[in-house]
Amino acid sequence: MRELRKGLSRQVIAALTIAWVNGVLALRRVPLWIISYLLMPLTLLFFFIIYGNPTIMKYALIGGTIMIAVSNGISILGDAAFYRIYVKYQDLLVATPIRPTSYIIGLSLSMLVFSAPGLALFVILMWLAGMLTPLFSATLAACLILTWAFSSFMGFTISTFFKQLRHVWPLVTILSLVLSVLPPIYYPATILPRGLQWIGALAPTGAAAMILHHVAGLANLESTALIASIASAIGYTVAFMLLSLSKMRWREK
Amino acid sequence: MVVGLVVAVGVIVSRDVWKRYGSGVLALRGVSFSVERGRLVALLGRNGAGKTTWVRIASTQLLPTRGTVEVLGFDVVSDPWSVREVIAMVPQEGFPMDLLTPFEFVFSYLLIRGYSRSEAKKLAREFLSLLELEPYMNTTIGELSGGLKRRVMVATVLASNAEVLFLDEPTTGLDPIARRGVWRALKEAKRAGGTMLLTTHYMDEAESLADEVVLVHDGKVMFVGSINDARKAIGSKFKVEVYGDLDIDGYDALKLRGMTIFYVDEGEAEEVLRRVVQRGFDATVKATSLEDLFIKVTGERIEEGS
Repeated sequence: MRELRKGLSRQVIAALTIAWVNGVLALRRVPLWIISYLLMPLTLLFFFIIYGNPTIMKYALIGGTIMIAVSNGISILGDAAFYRIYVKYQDLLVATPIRPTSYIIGLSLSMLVFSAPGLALFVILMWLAGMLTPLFSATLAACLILTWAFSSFMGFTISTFFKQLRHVWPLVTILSLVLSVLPPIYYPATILPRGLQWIGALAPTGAAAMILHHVAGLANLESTALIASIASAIGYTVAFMLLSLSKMRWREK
Repeated sequence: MVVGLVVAVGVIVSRDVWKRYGSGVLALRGVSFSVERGRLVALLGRNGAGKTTWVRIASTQLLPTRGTVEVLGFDVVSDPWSVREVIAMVPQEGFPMDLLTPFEFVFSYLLIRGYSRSEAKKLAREFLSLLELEPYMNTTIGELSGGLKRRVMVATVLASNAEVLFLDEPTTGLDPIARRGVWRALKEAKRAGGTMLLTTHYMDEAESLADEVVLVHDGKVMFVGSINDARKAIGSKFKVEVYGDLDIDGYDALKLRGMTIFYVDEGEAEEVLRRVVQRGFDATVKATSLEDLFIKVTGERIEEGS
């Protein structure tokens, strides 16, 4: 039991160390990343404020948090591929006692570090907009954690298929936009035909946003759509977590 | 030692390791040798000879198609986690993270390996100094030259104090002075009792550092032995390299891509050189080296494939 606890604490330290070097230190050296990740959601928020009304602005605030979480999470794709293919950091770590799970969690946590300043800004704006009821805050935390976990596990899984780095970079942008603009994140799923609102939950980011829209009172979802959203947000996260662990090339065949 | 048989119980024991990649390339064909405790062994061969494939298998990064490697008695195929506790590895073409300082990189690697913060700090400083990286300790790695970055990698792995170190071409891309700096550090680590396996295609590196050499060519082990064994296998102390195709009565000639090489002893060199010049050819006399072992065993020069 003591050995197990010792082993576990060693893995936790390893994961936190990776989050520290790839998140905290990297962000401290290149703070421009914060602006880079904030630019798109803030631009959308700006236009929603100019051309919209307070309700539409709330969509932009929810959409912004989802966009920041997903675009940071998916960025793990670039980092994981870079560390495996280019600088061989993964190879360096394979020949140590660190477990692959700790490595993935460490990199994922570092993505969370990158998104933290942007998320904090949007949460403050939500508070100013009077959205932060206890229920909404709890739902927001759960949805953001699921979105971050899903997108980083998915990014890691996809990174394992690449042998060349050049193919990875454009995919990060494409996936970020596809996952944060196409699904019902900046618009309500209720515009979809009745009985088909669950389609919005096919993307886990859409699912997270639909739950938040519902809890914030912005859109009254059908019960099937709500259940589909919860199942989608949790299901995708678990599926990609398992996939990332099984597909990762810790030891190649 | 005998090629193809594992005759000594070592810290690293490679038993009939074969590797065929998914692409169909047969990278290793029954590689067997052993490394005893506290020895530095150079795995020598051209690029593409199979050195990196073998090191990746031995350091638990790649599964062999057949055979296995044991490290301190732990099987890399069936018990990789025990192996990972006792090894450290400098990957080929591996570089530290650009945004960190050398100190942060080594320190974080040691934390990941399970060292306490105070131990990790102490070891990071000690080994960065050993690799003469003290002036750059707090400079962002992105600002360092390629050579300095490689030295950071070597310092990182040496600082781990792992019982067995694998170094895959650690000095590739370094200038001669920087290479000698790395050699000094490796000699120091060997004196401290470390067992090391180094891959290289630099003959001088193997001659300067290694207790033993394992010569690999086309995935097969062609020679295993000490530097003295290698010298005996070469047979002659000198060689006369002739730029052209030439035969001289009484001397065996080795023809190699437009060159003729005569392996001779001290007294014979002058005579061979005189006869070569008489026939109107240019020639140079050189002391033999591990390069000549490679030539004798494979019939090719190591640089041709490097």
